[in-house]
Amino acid sequence: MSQNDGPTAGERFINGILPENPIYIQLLGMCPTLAVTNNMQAAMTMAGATAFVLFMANTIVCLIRNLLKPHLRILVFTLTIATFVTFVDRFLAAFMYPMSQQLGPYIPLIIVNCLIISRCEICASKQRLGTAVADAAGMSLGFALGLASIATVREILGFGSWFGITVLHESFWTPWTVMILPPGAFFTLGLLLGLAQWLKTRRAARTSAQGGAA
Amino acid sequence: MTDAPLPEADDAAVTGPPTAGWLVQSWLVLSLALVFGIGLALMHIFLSPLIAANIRQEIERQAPHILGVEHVELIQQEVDGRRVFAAHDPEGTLIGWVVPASGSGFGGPIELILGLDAQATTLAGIYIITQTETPGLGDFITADGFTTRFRQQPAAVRMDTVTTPSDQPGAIQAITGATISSQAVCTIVNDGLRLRQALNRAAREASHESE
Repeated sequence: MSQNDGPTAGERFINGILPENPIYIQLLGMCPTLAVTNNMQAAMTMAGATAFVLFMANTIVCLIRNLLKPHLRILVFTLTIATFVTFVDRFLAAFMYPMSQQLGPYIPLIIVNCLIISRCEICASKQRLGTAVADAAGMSLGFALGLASIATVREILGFGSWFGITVLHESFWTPWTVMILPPGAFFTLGLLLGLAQWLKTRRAARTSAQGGAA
Repeated sequence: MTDAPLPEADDAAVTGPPTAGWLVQSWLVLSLALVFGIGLALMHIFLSPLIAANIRQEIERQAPHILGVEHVELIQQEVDGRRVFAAHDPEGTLIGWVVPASGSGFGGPIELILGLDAQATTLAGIYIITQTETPGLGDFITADGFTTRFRQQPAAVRMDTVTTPSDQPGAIQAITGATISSQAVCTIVNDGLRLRQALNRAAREASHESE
């Protein structure tokens, strides 16, 4: 396959943010999406950790893409991802211990986040370094936005705060405890997914109507 | 990796001698594993003292809760070749022991601390420091609802999981759906409790010295 096949770096970057958003369109990485989004700090730490691993995995896989044996490529992807996830896990335990305690097993579970291995497979193992890096940046941003949207709804309704800062005061707001529990994650994700799909269909309908008129 | 070459394998691998075939196939995996392994080892050398310091701080924070007191002074010492902490009150009297213990859970290593009274006859409580048990099932071992089941258990009996609430000494009701994690905690606690006689001796020696 030619190195120039597939979307360009710019397209990859844009695609990651909205058109192919990892959470709302591809439905990848549902485990952290549901599990660590009851407050913004945890969600953004997860987004940062995933971004670092995705960036490193895409870069390394891209640099060695011509040496990969087809039937051993998944092994190489997983090895690379696992190495950087271990690094992130230990880094958090050393420098952000309370957050490391809060995220617990979800940091090691980044290893099995399909978003990362799918980007290695779809983009980094087939395209140039610049494209792979842009892809990692776009997808990371899209993932962070997805986590932030869910965490914002859950933290504000569940704790009455955002990034730990009170926005809905206790005097007039009773926190919805269900939002910080697992069901709150499913409610929020379901409603936001519905909203995203509704916007997407409406936009597609409008575009095709314009295309028909022209 | 040791499987027979797959249909899409390189020609060199299929025609060459078996050993050469494996190397041709897997040199990249092997060298990446080596490089990543060295990288992680270096990282471990730099970060493990920081992580150990964080865990030490966590033990300092949790020790008063486990032992049920306001304030304790932890002094690290070796008992029976294991690292333990002697807990003293502000006047310097020995009020208990904090014993780190670890073992395998369902999803990875579990590290916890046991609190014992000064004579090491009663388990004051436990606290789980690190664990990677299944979220939503096994990770309930960290919840107060589970750890309080170890409160005030006699140190001389073995902890074992049971399925229904029981007042029998050492009977720890397991978490539904997380029997292995529950049993793992019991096993680790039992391992820590094996120090009880040595701790008891150390406590008596300490009281003789102070007299």
